[in-house]
Amino acid sequence: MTAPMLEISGLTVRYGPVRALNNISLRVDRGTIVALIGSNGAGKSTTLKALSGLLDLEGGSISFEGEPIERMAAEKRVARGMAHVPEGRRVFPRMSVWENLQLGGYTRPESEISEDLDHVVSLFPVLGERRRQYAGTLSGGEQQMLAIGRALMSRPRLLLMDEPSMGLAPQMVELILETVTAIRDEGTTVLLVEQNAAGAIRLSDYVYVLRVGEIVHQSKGSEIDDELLKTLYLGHDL
Amino acid sequence: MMELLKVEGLTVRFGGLVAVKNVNLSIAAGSIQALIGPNGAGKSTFVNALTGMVRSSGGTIVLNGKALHDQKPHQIVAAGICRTFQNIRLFGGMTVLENALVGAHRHFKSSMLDLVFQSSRMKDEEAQWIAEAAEELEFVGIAKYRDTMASTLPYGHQRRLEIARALLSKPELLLLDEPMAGMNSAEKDQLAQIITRVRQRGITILLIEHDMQIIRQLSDRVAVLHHGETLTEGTVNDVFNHIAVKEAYLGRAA
Amino acid sequence: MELFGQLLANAIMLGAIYALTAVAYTLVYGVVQLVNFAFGELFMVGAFICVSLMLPSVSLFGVSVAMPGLPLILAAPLAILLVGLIGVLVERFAYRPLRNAPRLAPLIVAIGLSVLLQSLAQSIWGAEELSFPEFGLSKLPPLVLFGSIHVNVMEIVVLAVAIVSMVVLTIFVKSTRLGRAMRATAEDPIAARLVGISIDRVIAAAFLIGSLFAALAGLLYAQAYGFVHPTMGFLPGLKALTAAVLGGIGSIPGAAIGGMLLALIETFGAGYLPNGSAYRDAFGFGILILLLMFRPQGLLGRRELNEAPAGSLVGTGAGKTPPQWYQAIVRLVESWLLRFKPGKTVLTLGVLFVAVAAAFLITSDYWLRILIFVLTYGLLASGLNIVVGFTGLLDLGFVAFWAVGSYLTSILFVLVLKQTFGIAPADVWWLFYVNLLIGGFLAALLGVALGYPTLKLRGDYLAIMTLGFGEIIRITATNWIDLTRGPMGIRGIPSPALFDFPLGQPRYLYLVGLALAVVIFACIGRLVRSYVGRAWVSIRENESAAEAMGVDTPRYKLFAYASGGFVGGVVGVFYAHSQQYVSPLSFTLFENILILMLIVMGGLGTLIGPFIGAAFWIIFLQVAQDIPFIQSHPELRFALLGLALVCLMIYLPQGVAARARVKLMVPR
Repeated sequence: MTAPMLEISGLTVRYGPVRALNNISLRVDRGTIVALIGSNGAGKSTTLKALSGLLDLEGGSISFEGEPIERMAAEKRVARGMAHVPEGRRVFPRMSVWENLQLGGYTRPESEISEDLDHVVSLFPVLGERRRQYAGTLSGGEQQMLAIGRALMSRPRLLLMDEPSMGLAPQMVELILETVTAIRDEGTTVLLVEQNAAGAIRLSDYVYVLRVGEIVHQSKGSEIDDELLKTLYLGHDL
Repeated sequence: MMELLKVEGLTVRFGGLVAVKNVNLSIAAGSIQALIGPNGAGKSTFVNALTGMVRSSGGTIVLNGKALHDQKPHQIVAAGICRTFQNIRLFGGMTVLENALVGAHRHFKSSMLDLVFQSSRMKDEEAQWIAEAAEELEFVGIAKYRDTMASTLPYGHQRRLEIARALLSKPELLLLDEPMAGMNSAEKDQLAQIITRVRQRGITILLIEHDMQIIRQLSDRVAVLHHGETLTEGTVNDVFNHIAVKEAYLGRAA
Repeated sequence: MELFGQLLANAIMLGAIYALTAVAYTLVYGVVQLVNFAFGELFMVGAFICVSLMLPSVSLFGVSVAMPGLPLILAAPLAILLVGLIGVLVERFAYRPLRNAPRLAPLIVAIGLSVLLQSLAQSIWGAEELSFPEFGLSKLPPLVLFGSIHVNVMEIVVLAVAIVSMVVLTIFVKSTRLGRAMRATAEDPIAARLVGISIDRVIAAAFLIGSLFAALAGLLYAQAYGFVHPTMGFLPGLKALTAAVLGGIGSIPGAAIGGMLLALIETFGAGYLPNGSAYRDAFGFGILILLLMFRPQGLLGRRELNEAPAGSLVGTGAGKTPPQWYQAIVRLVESWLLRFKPGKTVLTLGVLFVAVAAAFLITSDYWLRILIFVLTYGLLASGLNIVVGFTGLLDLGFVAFWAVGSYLTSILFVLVLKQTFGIAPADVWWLFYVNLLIGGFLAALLGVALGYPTLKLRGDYLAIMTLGFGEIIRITATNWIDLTRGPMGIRGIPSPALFDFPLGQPRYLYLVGLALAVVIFACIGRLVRSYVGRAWVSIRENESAAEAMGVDTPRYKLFAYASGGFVGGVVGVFYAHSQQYVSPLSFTLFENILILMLIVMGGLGTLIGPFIGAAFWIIFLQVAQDIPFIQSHPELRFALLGLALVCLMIYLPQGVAARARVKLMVPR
């Protein structure tokens, strides 16, 4: 039995006086989509930031393919095979689409970058068409594709995605979520944070629900119905 | 029922982006009005526009018949609106009592000469507001921390200090921007009680919050912002049964 | 036409040098949003190392050392590389520990490094200028263009080198892996980390390249003007910063355009305007100020660089444990300070009694004069402390207020009354006391006038703009000869007197100074312990929250400038009468930096800190003179000051009197 792709145990993170994550544990198996949902301020983004090394932990451990990484610098984690599509996309606005993608392959040997570029363009043809355009001039949906494409350029085995559907038109949301499935089908494991709970539950293999820094529910997506979701998400009375 | 605040057609643009689009809101004196909406719906921008911290591009804000749009933040405080911040903004290098006293800033009338010569007017004024500040600290339950540095205060107490500080401006309308964020349920209950008692003092409250239980428990009416526009406005029950609200929060399939 | 051509040729060469140095500022600012004032000094160090390598022997610390005597073509790259190494070390040990500190902290470190490098260079190479050795190309006769314009071959070389290195840099940044990583870090450091870029490495690279450019510019400058000197980097450094801001800090083409534009304006202004060459340096600063007022992003820059520094003033340090000896000093000061609780009347009276008694117990005029200096600098630091320490606005033009007070009373007493109307100073002894007030109010007025345009600015830009104001006033004082007598200064300012009783003896001067100090100390204390002080500190701690709590922030900022200015003006009047001589040399940026350092050392935002800092420093200045090595290299004291400032910012940013934090209410 090989180690799971990702295993977190007892993770605790503080922002100054605020305890944003309190002793959470979760596990992501190879080749699956795991969704992390919950309302604002539940600690979803914080979890991803702690995983990719943007935040220091107060306690707990993170093991990636069996190797402890909680003390590893953020940039090393990318090289190890973990990529993070951040909230709000954070493309480099005054650099071209192509440069953004090249930067995504920063940790890869230069010789293999063009092959990876082809792969990303096959996934998002529009990025190929706009390769010379400044990333800041793309539409929200295109920027999201670029952010995902940039993350894929590092050939991650685990992709952390933070709210990829935020602020997008419904059609675009659909397209992005389909892409997530496609990425999983290519063999990349995905940990997905979403506010669009229904969408996330539909496509994921396993779901964790966070509330105020704690995991309040975990199960297969199919076991979560509307009533349960409302209770977990919006409070008991809705 | 008397109307305290009337916002009509409020619009805020940042460059090409319209963060708040033609929002109307009317708040009855003495009520608790909730404002909810998903992340990025424009709630904070709305509050910033109300308090003069961002410039509105259109629309009117009227408090007690007095037009407030295009006023500077300190003029808006003087008119009777004061706020707390979602991401706590205390004066970390000042004590709890000093923080509270900054909230009372607008009431100080002593001249420079009063200060330099320590006139009785200055001393009386200082004593009066120190007493009032101490009372407000007592009111929110952090009186024993009065000489502690605000930055070292426990998180839940920092939220309370923000409320006490805002109360010291003697506002007619208190804006609470996600006061419950990051709190556990016991802390939330205590804070909810404080909010209820603020309302009992006759102070009108605009409450921005994500915790629906709290909204349900405290507020008289709820307005929902989505993509910068008012999705719906009404009583708590009406709004929570509104199908569009669920969609906005849960995604299309829910 | 001949003049025009010649000026144009000069301007282009100077512009090339400004542009190269501006690249250093722009590159580092783009990546870490830090104005590394020390580039001006790296510019100078580059020139010194290059010259040293070219000579057969150099005197270092007064000891003659054999040198390889390399040709320029070898010495230059070697010098440039060495400076690059210094730049990387500076980043690693001085800036990196402060990467997450509020922006005032690295800014103060930058100033400290500047002082450190400059004083160190003075100790090593001496305060005399060294001439640049002749070399092959410099001996060629100048070319004559269009029949009348003389151009040295080296001027063409300078331009060519500048163009080539800028082009190479542009290509590097545009299309190499590291260059892309640098641009990505400049745009979004978090996203850069998420694609696997090591921010530490990128920042080190920016410092390395910036230092290389500064050194290159420095040695080109030195060969053009034929000499090297420890202060040679100061003005070009400021000019280059101006050029970088002018072009839009963060933009490499902006640096090139800004450098050329600034050189053109300066050169043609100096060439064509009446008395232009005297005001040459003022043009650049004037443009800088106008630019910051109306287009702070520069010609090609972006707007967001003028950000609010949120949170406390300088932070709580890098969380490092300072060395033992250092902790011991801090403990000593603190234990002494804890006994001195503000507000305890008995103790205040006790200290006052000791201070008065000192006037009669100390018999040496020499030490009494030193105490007068302590009071003068302590008071100046207290004035600046209102602006920097309490309100959190970094003001590098504070000396202007001091100058206004000094010149007001000097001009009135000497030039107007004595020389124009023939009135003896003794007949108008009371005017000194009146002038204290007038000087104060005049300086306060100036404070409001200079403060007003800075209201929109925060952080680095505020510091740069106030620096510009300070320099313009100093340049005016130097060159408006009719009013100020220029660099000669004004002599014969009468000592203070009370009726027929002269107060010129150091003992009485000290008592007058002490009386002033008591009054000003009390006034500042009373303002600070009231709603005014709370408003000031609230602006420092969180400006937007202060606004939201009803503090009219522009008004209180102006009031801080006015109050600080008032104190500066009053002290200026006292200073003029106690020294009996004023000259523009007393009001330099260095003095301003020194005053700032005294506050930082003593404790920003404390009442007693400025005096502790002043006492520490001025007594150290004297005592250190007895240490043999320092005796022969007195500038080392300033190097130590710079070093102390850097260490303070890293280990104890609140200063040694941190525990003496002022209560912002009337003590009960």
